[in-house]
Parts: sequence; C-alpha cells; structure tokens
Amino acid sequence: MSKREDTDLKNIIGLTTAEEILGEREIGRDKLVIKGRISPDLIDEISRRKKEPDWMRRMRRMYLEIFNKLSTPQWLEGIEELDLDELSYYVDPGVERRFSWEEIPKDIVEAYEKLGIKKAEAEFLLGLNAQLDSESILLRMKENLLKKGVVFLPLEEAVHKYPDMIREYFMKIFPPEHKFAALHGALWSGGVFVYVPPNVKIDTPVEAFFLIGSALEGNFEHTLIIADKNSSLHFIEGCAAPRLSRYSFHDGMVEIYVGENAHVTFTTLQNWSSQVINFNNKRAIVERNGHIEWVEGSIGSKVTYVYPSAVLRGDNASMESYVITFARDGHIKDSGSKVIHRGRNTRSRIVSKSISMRGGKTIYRGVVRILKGAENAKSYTSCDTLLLDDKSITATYPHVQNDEPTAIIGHEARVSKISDQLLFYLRSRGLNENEALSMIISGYISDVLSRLPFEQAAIIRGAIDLEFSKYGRVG
Amino acid sequence: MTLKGLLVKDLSVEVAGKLILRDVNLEVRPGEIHAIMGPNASGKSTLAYTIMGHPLYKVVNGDIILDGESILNLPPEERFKRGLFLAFQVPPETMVKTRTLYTYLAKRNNISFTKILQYIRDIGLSEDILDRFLNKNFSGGEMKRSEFIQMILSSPRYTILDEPDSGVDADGILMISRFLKQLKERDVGVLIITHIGRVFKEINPDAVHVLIGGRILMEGGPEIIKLIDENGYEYLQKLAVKR
Repeated sequence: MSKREDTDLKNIIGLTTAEEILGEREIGRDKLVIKGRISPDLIDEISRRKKEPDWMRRMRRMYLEIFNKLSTPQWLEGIEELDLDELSYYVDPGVERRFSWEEIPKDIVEAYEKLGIKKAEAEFLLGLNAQLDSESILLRMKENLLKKGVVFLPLEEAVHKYPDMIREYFMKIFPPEHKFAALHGALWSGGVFVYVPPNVKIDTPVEAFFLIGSALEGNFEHTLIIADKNSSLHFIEGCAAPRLSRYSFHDGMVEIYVGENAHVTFTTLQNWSSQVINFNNKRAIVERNGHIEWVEGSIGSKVTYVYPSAVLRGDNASMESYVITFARDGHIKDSGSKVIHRGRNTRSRIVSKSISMRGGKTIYRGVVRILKGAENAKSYTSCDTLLLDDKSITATYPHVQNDEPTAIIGHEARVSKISDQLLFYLRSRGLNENEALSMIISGYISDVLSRLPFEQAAIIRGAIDLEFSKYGRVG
Repeated sequence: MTLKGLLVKDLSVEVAGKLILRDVNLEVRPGEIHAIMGPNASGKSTLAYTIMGHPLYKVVNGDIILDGESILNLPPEERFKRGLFLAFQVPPETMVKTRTLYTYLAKRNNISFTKILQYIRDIGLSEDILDRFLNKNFSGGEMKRSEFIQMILSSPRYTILDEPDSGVDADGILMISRFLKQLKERDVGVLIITHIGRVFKEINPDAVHVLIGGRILMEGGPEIIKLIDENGYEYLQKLAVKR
C-alpha cells in the first residue's frame, strides 16, 4: 500500500501501539534492583524494604516453599528463553509515590502522557494507580471516590492499614495451585487494593496502569478487589512497556471477591511490548446473586497465558467473560476462561474471539466445571478464531466436566478464514486490502467491543487498524 | 479529446490456467445500457469480475479502457475510485456490519445518514439491516437491494450489474427496470448481465451481446431478446455458427 494512505489511516485513528509510542528508551533512572537466586534471604530483603509486618514475610516464605516443590506446568509453550535466575525480582523505580503529576519526574510523566493515561485520568477515570516497575508512583483519586468510602490503595499500604482483610483474602481466592502462582505469592510487589463498601455503586471506572520500564524484569503486581454486598465497580487494568533489548517476565495476579448482589466488571487492555512473557492469574469468587464480568483485550506481548476465572459459589451467581486475543509474527496467545459452578441457577457465558496473523498462534484453553448440587446451572462457551493467512495457527482445548444432571452446557467453536472473494468484494467498494482487513476484524469483534466504554473500544480498534496500516497481509 | 466510455478490447481471460473469455469487445458509452446475455457458465460473471479487477482473473490478451485510460494494471479499489461499480450476483457473506460499509461509501460522496435511511426505505428494506452483518443470512431480494443501495451511495459513472434479476420477485424486476431508467437519465453507462430479458419490459437496452462459450457470438438490438425468449440459446448458437 502507498505511503500516503498509510499516514491517512494513522491520522484518522490517532492511536498506535504502546510499544511504538514508547520506542526503545528505558523508562526511569537510578533504579534499585534486587536479583540473584531466589532464596529465603532474597524474600526477606524484599519484605524488609517494604517494611512489612512479619505475617506477610512468613506468608511469602511459605509460597517460596510451595514454589520449590511444584514443577513447571508441562503444557506451557514459548517460555524456553525464560531463565528465572537472571531476572531482577524487585525493581524500585527510584521514584517515591506521589499524589499529583507535577511531583513525578518529567520524563516519566511523558510516557503516561504519550499513552493517553494522563488525559484519561483527567477526563474519564474516578481513580488511577500508576505503577512503574515494582512500585506505585502515583495515586490519584477524585473526591467522589473518597466520599463514598471506597478504599483504593497500593497493596503495600493496605497490608499496613487493612491487615485483617488482606489476611482473609490475599491468595485465598487464587491459592498457589501452580508454580507461577506460588512464585507470585513469594515475590509480589505493587498492585492495588480496592474495597467497595455495601450499597456503594461506582459507575465511573478506576484504573491501575502498569509499566515495565526495562528488560529482564520480573513483574509480580497483585490486585485485590473486594466488592461488598450490593455494590458495583468497574476496574480497568492497562499494561505497556517500551521495546526491550531482552525479555521481561510478568507474573501478575488479580483476585476479586464479589459479595452478595454485587457486580464487578474487570477490563484488561494488555499492550505489553513484544518481548514480554506474560503470565496471568485471574480469579473471582462470586456470592449469591453476584456478577463478575471479565473483559480481556490481549493485544501485545510475546507469549501470553490468561484465563479469567470464576467460582460461582452462591445461588444465582453469574460470570460473563469476553476475551479478545491477537497473535502475530510467531507470538503465542494461550487464553480462555475457567468457571466452576457451585451454586444453584448459576450462569456463565464465555465468548472468545481470537485473531492470528503472520505466523501467530492462538489457543483457546477453557474449563467449565459443574459440581453436583449446582442445580439448573447454565454455561455457554463460544470460541471463534479468525485466521488471516496459511502460516497462522489456532487450536481449541475446551474441558467440560459436569456432575449435575440438571445443568445445561453449550459449546460452539468456529474457525474462519478471509476468502479471496470477500477481499475482492470489499476492494471493489473502494477499500484497499488493509482497510478491508481492518474493517473485517472490527466487525468480527464488534459484539465484544460494543460492551466496552467508548475509550477502550477505540484503543482496541486503533491497535488493530495500526497493525494493518503498518504491515498488511502476508501472501 | 478522448472518447468517454468503458471499452473492452480483444479481451481474453484465464482463470486457474483455463481460458474462459476469448477476444471479447465492448463499447459502453455514458447513458447507454448494454445487455450481456448468455446461458449458464458462458463467462458472463468472469467478464464482470475481470473488468472490476479480480486478482484471480488473469488477462492474457487485450485491454480494458476507462474514459481513454487503460485500467488493466489498477487494483479493484482504484477502479472503483475512477467511477466503476460492480453489483455482485451473489455477494459474499461478511463479518462487516452493513452500517459500516454503507456509511463508508456515503462519506466519500458526502451523503448524510438521513439520506441512507431514506434510500433503505425507498428500496423496500428494513432499517434493521444496518445492524446485521452485510449479506449474512440475507434473502435473495435483500442481497440485490443491498447491492443497489451501495451502487447509489457510490454514484458510479459506469456500473456492471451481474444478474440483478436472478432470484427476484415481480416487484424486484419492476424496481430494476426503474433503476435502469434512472441510470440512463443520469448518463451512467450500464453493463447488465442477465440470461432472461424480463428486466427490459419498460426500457430497451441500447445493445445486446450474446456470450456463449466465452465468445460474443451475436450482437444487435432488443430484437435479440425476443429471439432468445422464443427459441433459447441453443438455437442462437446454431444460427451463429451458420452465419
């Protein structure tokens, strides 16, 4: 395609991928780094730096022991280069946490400005926690959030201020059932704690934004959300990194407790640069009449493993999970959703839309488990894949296990390819090949995008359009 | 001064290594209606696709000239931008919302959304078509009507209608006749592919070309339509061979 059209499309969209925006420059200076073999001493040092109470230090030690006992999951593909011994487990960005943008070093603010986070915070968010490397560097909260009694804090501070709640829920929603979850428990740093009191409804989103500033970092942020009875919350998490000279490893965790009648929407816009190995651990426990909605937009990274999950514990509890993944150039997206139905009349709906191009690989890996006694549970999974060329790969591994005779379970899977005839049709209407592909993909994920706030939908659309204005289609 | 028109000169076309069209010649001037008639598999759609620039249809000989310039090396989107439009016989199912493509086309010609809605109503479609995926689960009538709407929104100078009358009821046929009249009034050059002559009840084509086995076997005026209607293509073929 011509140069002119290329710029036109960019102008129309006005957005680009995070990696391209941030370029190759490291973010932040004068960092303090903890590295070396993972040992009890190393854990103690992280704990000491954070001035943690002893119970947290001991908890970290316990997870380290579990980590040492567990073996690496056999099915993981694409982590061959990961060598845990060469990573920095804790990277202090060298910036104290502040409450206003003015107090943050200019070159760091610039990164958030370029990514549109500063603007979003001003215009659209009720709260923002900005994290660089292993620590929160900025916490912004609108008055409305404080007035309603919502707690929105870096997890480190919550450990001191709300020890009872942290002890009750931290890694209890997602116990360390595999090696990387245990490693996370031992090394966690950063992330947010949110508590929404009973009957408080937060309609405007709050966001946590995570930046990895340099190569060979281990990033273990932990987000813990407790939505009390009859409350509601929309939480957005965003991630980005500049182009890195080598890989970095992200092993984050999100735990959500959805109380009776409460409603939580958790949206992730993952836009790591293409060197990041991205491992996620996301789970919610949902009480009676509660509802969790996961929206996962997985655009960046080299390899991603992400399976937003829920345990539907109470009667009438429900989960909706919308996962959009995009894999290109040999990158791997291993994603899906997992749900365990325990309560009666529980409902789950999983919609996965993946796109593979130029040798990208997308995998759907899901679990639907219905326990005996989850009477009249209903679960529906739909996973679609769009393959843009013959070099790209997709696979679907659904796992369904039902012990409840009254349950109703549906599963649909489709693989679509873009035919020459379809491309010709759209080109005969004046679209060039890349515009046509971008229009097809926008349409393909439109039912998921329509559920997102305008700003987020625009980011995902923008990222897709950029992909096609830059590279086009192979073959 | 170059003569305005869509010219097909000595055109031979191969698809997947097989020669489908041989030495086809056509001259469609603005405001003229040309009918291409022929039995099934005679190469009619191949001609339409080739003029529009389908990448799988290889021109092995000849040229296609639009208002004095060869468009042979232009991709389909450029041919569209130069005023060419193809209404597909069977448009492919898409994952694109009808609204998206309609507004895209309308934007090029500064056509308002209100106007789009009016066109949709006038042509006898329901507005909810906008929120459906274009051509997906469309009835035959909806498909043809939707192609016509896209043609209106594109305001082409030359349009190729590939069997607009197939699978369409009596009202649909009437609608097509009216469209042909309007296109003629607006000085649009029309190449209409059909195998029966029903759409010409109200307006006669300026020329009829009979395509059989990839060649134009006979050319003339509306009288050929009557000939075909009464005797069929086989008779015409024999007649042509005799001639």
